[in-house]
Amino acid sequence: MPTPKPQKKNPFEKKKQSLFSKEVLIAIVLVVCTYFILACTFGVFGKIIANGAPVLAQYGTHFLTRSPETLVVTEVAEGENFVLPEDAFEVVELYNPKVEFKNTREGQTDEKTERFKIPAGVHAIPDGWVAELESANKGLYINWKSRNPDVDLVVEVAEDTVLTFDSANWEKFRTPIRDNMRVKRTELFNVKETTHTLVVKAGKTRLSKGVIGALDPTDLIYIIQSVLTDDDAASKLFDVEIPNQQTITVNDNIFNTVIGEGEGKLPTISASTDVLITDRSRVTIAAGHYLVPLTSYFDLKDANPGIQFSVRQGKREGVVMGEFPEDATLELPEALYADFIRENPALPVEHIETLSTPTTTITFDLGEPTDLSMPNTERNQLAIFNPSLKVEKEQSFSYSGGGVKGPLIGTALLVTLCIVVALFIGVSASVYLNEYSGKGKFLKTVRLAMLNLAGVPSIIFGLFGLMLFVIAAPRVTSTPAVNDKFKIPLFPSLSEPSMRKMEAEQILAVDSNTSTADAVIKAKTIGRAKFYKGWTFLSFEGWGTSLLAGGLTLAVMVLPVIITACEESLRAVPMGFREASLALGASKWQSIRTAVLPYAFPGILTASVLGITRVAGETAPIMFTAAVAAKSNSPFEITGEPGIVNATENFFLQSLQALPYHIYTVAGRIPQSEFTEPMQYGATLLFLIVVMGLAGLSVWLRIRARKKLKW
Amino acid sequence: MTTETESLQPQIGTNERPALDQEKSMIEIDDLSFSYDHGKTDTLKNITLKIPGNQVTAFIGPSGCGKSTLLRCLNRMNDLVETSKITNGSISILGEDIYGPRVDAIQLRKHVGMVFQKYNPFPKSIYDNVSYGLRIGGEKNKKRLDEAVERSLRSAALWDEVKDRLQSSALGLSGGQQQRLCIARTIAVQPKIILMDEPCSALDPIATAKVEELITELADEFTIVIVTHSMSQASRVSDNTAFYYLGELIEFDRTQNLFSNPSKKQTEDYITGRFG
Ligand SMILES: Nc1ncnc2c1ncn2[C@@H]1O[C@H](COP(=O)(O)OP(=O)(O)O)[C@@H](O)[C@H]1O
Ligand SMILES: [Mg+2]
Repeated sequence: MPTPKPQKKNPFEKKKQSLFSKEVLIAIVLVVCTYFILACTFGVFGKIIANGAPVLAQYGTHFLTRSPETLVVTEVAEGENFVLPEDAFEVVELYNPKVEFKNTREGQTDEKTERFKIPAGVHAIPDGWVAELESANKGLYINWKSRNPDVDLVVEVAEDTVLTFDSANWEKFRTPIRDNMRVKRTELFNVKETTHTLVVKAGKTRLSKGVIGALDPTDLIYIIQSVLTDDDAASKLFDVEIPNQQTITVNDNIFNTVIGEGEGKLPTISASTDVLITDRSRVTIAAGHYLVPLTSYFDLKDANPGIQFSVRQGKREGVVMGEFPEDATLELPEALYADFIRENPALPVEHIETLSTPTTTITFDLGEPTDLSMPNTERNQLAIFNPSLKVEKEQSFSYSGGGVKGPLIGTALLVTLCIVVALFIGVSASVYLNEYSGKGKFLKTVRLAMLNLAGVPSIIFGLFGLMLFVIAAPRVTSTPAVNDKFKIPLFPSLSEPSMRKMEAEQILAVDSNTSTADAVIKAKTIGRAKFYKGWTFLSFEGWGTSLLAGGLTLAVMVLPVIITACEESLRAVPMGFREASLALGASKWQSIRTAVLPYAFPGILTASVLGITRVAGETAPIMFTAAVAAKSNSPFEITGEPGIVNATENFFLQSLQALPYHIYTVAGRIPQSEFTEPMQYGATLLFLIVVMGLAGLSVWLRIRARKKLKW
Repeated sequence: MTTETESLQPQIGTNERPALDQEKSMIEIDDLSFSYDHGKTDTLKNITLKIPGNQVTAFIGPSGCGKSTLLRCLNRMNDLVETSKITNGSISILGEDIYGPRVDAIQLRKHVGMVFQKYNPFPKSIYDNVSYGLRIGGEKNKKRLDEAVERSLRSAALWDEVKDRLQSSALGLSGGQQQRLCIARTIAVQPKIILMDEPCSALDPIATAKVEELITELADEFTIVIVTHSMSQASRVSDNTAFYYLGELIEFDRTQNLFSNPSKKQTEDYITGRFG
């Protein structure tokens, strides 16, 4: 090989590059940016996985089968023989892997349930017991047509109590008592009440702040010319105008404050004094259950506002005439049943049998004071099974216990509804746009609208949904809300709402001759939310925060995505299929149905799964339209009146928990601590898995569709 | 193969027939002008043509002269083009003005079938492809569908090749088989007329020969109008040939006459390959 001549120039010679040349610098910036993104991704995913995986591993199915509830961290003093039902104990163990439960041993208790029959008919039942019966008997709904003021009620007096009555009332109270009320001591006394009648002079004057304060509870009408603030001294004077001469009646206290010599007192024309003497009885009665007429019960409460009568349900305020259309076989836990029988002596209850469910319990000891964390349900069990439990300190963390079952189901429901609606509208619209409509201005307008819609931030969709679906969407109802924008009368109502419904929903019933406007005014003045006048309306009162409102809001939000994808899928179907089908005598719709949609379907499916992924992750649109942080019953447990119409309405109009909103709640709305962390990371990781799973599904679908349909 | 099709040629040529304008016509096109743009420019200009029944009529002419357009006027496929418009004249099939108010395009297309340039079976089974037209026509009886499928596939000379795999996808067939399947699909609804728009342009020569053979056989039963850019094909399969140039019908005659003895200069130039 001849050596190349040294003078020959290498045309491809490498130029020397400086380290700080433009090329190199730009390359460095590009590389750094790329790695930054990568690092962020790993950082985010890494942290969620690192913190979330142990949570999912520790809690396992518990996380999926329980809904969020309050997490209670209880510091329990050391002791022996703590008892818990087996499954509750398992949960406590799950939550406290580090705690040593000493000397655990199995035992048994019998949970007794009484089964009894209430014969068909109308029976007087305290409304608190209606609630109690319904919560113990799934599916029971006791309707009532009226309240009964003429029945006896059991009042529970927890300890010896001193009650004060006007003597007349006391006699009234005592006479019909059937239970032997044990009166320990009766003391008669009389009260002198002095009242003053003042005639107040009209005109401008100056009053001190103290006087103005004292006049506040009286009926006197006066106008303060300047602004009162809390820091003003009681003696500071204000200009006040009393528009006309007025007569007021005041008690001794007020009289002494407002009348007197010097500046700032009330100018009066005359004053007269009356003295009223009432006989009172001060009665000490022993603890116990007393049967009291309903009306007397209210007297009792009025006369002794300071005393809390122990009322378990908090709403045992009246007796309703409950309707049992047929013989009802019901169940109550043993202890409640005893109360039920005692408190309802007039009810024809027929005992059938005592059911007993043996429950395995675990008894354990704690060697030292221990922090035990557990969901609220288990905490209640602990209290029930260990009445003498000594608690040193207790903290609770909202939404941080239990699992994510409720939010998971809620999200699934929202997404399902959304996708069904969005697919129907989206496919219809894109078929129209792609197959029917001409290529004119209209099409361009629709495309532009869609483009705009696609760019709207999700929070705006939330507000849009709030405005349209939550507040203003139409409903067909015979009990329209008084504050909706407008209502269109449709036809006479088929059935009257039950008294129970009227009470629960604050419905005012007026007769059918009352005009709608009058009904609205009447209902508003007495503070009712709805009215009933025997007519069915199309009322634009909205659906409230509900599955329906949230689902539709999400549907509107994904519509642009779905329509774009549908159009693309439709365009991808060869013209030849349409032509061939038309040439064989198919009508337009036949050709679309048989020769276009089936081949566009895989693409549409892929797009909708992608849509689901996006929708499932949105918090903002459901925040105002569907989501609640806490919900006690599962979305499938429909409460309320029986019947398919009611059940459907209740189902679609219920608010829901949703996974993204739940994450927002536990991560952003409650105070953070080490105890809230498992729920935060667990829920986030689970959510991530769900969303990635959906994305994966869409990829898989697309690949499968590509393989299957090639032309 | 080629020898076989060539052997057909004399048969057509020697057939004793009455003069073309004496024949009973199936399709009558009368002074037809057609526009794709609301009548601004005419794509077809004053075409008058009588196509006889149960014969093969070929449309030839240079690309873009309007052969497909005229063909698609015959089953109103041009209705799909919104801006299209018949600006003059009329088309009657079996004596009925097909653009008249009493005619439903959907019913018309059941009588005037069409086979396309690019074979386009649906991505369904062979059976479903052939039975498609009957199914959308409302036929549900399995036995009648089975019979129709077999009859149509036999007519399309495809039965022996596919009878064992009627339920497998039509897309698994070769190009020529797919095109014959499309023909079978068209036959299944028993049209009077079959329009074919360059049915062999996407096929290899062997498949082409098979389809051509099929066309001549089908002419006993159907009136066939075929667009082709191959003059040899026109001469092999057709009884009559129409030559178009720039949207006008230049000449229409017995195929043999037209090729051996064209009366117009443009025709002669075209068939001798001087342009086009
Ligand atoms: N759908 C259509 N819209 C507008 N113009 C068309 C359409 N189809 C065909 N044309 C025009 O009509 C003329 C004739 O086309 P065509 O009938 O397809 O010709 P050929 O089949 O003879 O090659 C061409 O100039 C073509 O551009
Ligand atoms: Mg063409």
